[in-house]
Amino acid sequence: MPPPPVPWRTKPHPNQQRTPGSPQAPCLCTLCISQPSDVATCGLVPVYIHPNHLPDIEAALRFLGLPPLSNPGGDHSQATTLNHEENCNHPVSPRFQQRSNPQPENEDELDYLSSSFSQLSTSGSSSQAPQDLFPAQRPPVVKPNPSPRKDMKKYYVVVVGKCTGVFWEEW
Amino acid sequence: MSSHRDNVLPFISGVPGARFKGFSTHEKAAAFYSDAKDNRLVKVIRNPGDEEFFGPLHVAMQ
Repeated sequence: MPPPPVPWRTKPHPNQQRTPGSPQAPCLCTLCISQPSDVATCGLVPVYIHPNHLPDIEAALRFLGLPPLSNPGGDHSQATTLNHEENCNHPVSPRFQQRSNPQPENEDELDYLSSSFSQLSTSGSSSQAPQDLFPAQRPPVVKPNPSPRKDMKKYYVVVVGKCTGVFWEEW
Repeated sequence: MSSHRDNVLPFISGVPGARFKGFSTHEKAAAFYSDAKDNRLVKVIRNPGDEEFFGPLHVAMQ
């Protein structure tokens, strides 16, 4: 069973550095909801507006003298992100910034990265063995050079001599 | 690099008409020596003092 995911380290929330006196109402947008409730207060509540209601909303905004919608016809999530970023300077890539289990700042970040990469290596295809990814290759067969003693005889027969018989190699 | 003659030199040095031959396998060498022995071609020739170095004459022939 793979280890639990280790979230990425993130920078401090921008609203943590907010100056005193700024609005403290909790933000209910997608990004701020994922953060602790005591730090996310950008003051903007994005809502989804049905396209059929857009003419009425725009007419009301014109009547009240307010600026029109920034992205009335676009994607809901995109409009939410843009509006949110304009007001509280949240990062645009929430999937790499959100953390459900913040780590202490004094711990070594290298350990987090190692854990994350080890998780990545086992989460994809745990049943596939490394030898399946990299087929086994036999080392090239290197034929040894012919020995200079290959043509030499190992056994010698002395027929006429001080000793006769079959001798081999060295004596 | 030593030659066949160098390998058998102690047995043929100072022996007139010495004969020797090399083989790649022991079987071939043994067969050749057996044929030579059957044909009475095997001869042990000693010089004075060789017994001290090569041993007694009766064990000089395999």
